[in-house]
Amino acid sequence: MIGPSHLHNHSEAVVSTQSTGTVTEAQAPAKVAPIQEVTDSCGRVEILSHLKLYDRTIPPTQSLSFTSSKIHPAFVKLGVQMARDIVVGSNARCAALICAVKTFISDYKCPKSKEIRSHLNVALKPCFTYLAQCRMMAVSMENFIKHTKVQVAKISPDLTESVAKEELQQSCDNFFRENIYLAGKSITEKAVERVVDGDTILIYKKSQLILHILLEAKARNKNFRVMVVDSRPDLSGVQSCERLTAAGIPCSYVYINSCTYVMKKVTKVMLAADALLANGYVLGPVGTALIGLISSTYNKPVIVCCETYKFSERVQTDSILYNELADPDSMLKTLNEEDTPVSNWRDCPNTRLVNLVYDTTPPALVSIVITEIAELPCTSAPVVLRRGAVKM
Amino acid sequence: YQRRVRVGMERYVEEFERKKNNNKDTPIAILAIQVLNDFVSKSDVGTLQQLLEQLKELSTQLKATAGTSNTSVVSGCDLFVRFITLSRGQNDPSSEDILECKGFDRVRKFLMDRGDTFLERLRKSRQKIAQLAYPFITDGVTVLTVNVSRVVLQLLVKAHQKSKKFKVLVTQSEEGPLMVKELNAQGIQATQILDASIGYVMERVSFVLVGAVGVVENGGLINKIGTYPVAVMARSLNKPFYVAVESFKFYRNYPLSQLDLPNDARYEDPEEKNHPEVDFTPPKYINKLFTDLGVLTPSAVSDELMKLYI
Repeated sequence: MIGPSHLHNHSEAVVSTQSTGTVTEAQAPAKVAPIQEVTDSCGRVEILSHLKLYDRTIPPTQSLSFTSSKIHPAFVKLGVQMARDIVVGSNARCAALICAVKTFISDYKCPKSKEIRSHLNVALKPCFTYLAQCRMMAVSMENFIKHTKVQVAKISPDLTESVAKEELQQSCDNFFRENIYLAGKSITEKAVERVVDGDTILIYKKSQLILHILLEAKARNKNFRVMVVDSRPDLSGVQSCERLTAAGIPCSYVYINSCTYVMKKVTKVMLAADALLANGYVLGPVGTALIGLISSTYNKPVIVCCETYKFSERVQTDSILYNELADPDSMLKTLNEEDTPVSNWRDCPNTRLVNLVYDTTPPALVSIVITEIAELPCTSAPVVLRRGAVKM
Repeated sequence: YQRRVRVGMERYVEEFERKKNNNKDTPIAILAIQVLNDFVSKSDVGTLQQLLEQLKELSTQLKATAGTSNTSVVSGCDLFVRFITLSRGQNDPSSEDILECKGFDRVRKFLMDRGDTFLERLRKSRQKIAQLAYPFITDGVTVLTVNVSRVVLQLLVKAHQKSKKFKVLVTQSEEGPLMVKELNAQGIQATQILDASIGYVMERVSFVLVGAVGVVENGGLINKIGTYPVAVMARSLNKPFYVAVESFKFYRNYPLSQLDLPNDARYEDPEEKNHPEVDFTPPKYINKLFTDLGVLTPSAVSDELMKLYI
């Protein structure tokens, strides 16, 4: 396995060749060998065979060559961070991508015969392809990439290279500031109003936005409790608990199996979304739909908080059409590090492990979606898309 | 300055009270908007910002005297201010744009013209609703309605004038007898029932048709207390639940539960808090809303509000 120090040296070596490499490049981009994909049907569920499953035992950088790699080291690093779950969360991944793109732009030298606005997109493409192979892109990242492509194409041809690069970096900064930072603040303002004294708020796993809302509510001296629902394999709800208790908010922690047991005592449910689809469905971490359904049955309001840049034009009504398969072996980890009975599942032809990342919640189960422009019913997501409210 | 402004407004508040007592038929929000329109024409300020501030202040005062219909006053006044300052009406590309007016007198004239247009539209709203919705009343139906609503009354009268044969059941609530009297006076067969007997009659009802005090952002309904149980009962027996409401009653609030309604909307006297006058019906119990903007589903209400405010 590649350790962090080795990675550092690797990226430095690539930097020294990269700057000379880009000026004298050939026209057609060299194909990057894809990361090994598990293609044999053994161990794969048929209904999910359209989803890519990557072999996690080999490092993602194995296929990259030292000298003629088209991938900027910032992206190499980001790819590994994403693949190893070091950078998690839709906002964090998008922010990391913004940083990588900015670094790329500052290191970029346009070849003499080309224009920056046509060549930069071509130069960025292999980096994005590599990232997608390390880990499937989140909707937030996809929307940022679309935005960047438009911004690059809009560059006026009579700008000098340095001015154009500065403008692009500025637009990246603006994207982050408007769509992530300020949008987060705006949503927090609206959502904090919904928290009243005596509330018991249920949250699912860890979300930067929801934690921000709860910490802000505590800072405004609201008196409430939090019920953290968590699920395997990543158990990120533990970090939620740590942060909330550090702020002095009384917390309870349960696994998702006991969600129905605690739902009686809950007054509100606050969930974060990875994306909001055009037909009003909410894409969230797997288990969100379950929470939505149980809350609805117990008649508890479900508040979904989502920035508008995560609104997607995709339409889907189930969780199978578009999803991500994470490493199945991470499901084998137990609390006391013992071997589970399915540890040797690859040898058993009838045993399959499936680790889905997302699921979709129908709009009927969601009471309100809080975005930075308005508080909407879930069915109004297409209205926002139609009105072009996403700042592109 | 503030005190001077407030004193000047008392005259308008008194006029509002007077109008309220004289015109029981006209919706209270229209009376409030008439007062605001009057204020725009007679105010002596020099800038648009000042005028808007004063309009806001006046709306707050009018709202305070409006009792529990204050949600419609709030929404009506809000929409009025929004409408008159909207530059270049979307339906009217040839009309003069507020941004092109030179001098505040021209601006004031622009605002007054827009205000008159708005009032004209509102006056016709009940007629429009009746025109749009009477086809839903076919021969032989039994309509259940809650309490008294002038919009519903006008709608039923229109259907009767088009020679439809139907029956109406009215819940007693607070002013049910008044509704029964009005309907009978128009020649429509109306019977009064106790609120407790809605379960008993619901199987014979074709659909439920109610008016509204306000419609909230998610398409939910604020109406006289007793409407929510009727809606739940109707849903339980799969009977359609329709709401007849003018568009100026679209209220910018998003309640998630009964307690999320503001206190001054629920109680006659917010200090006393005796018994709530209104309740909130979630949008999932409402089939369609008959408005002057068309026949809408609850999810379309948010769309309409976004068009106006965002």
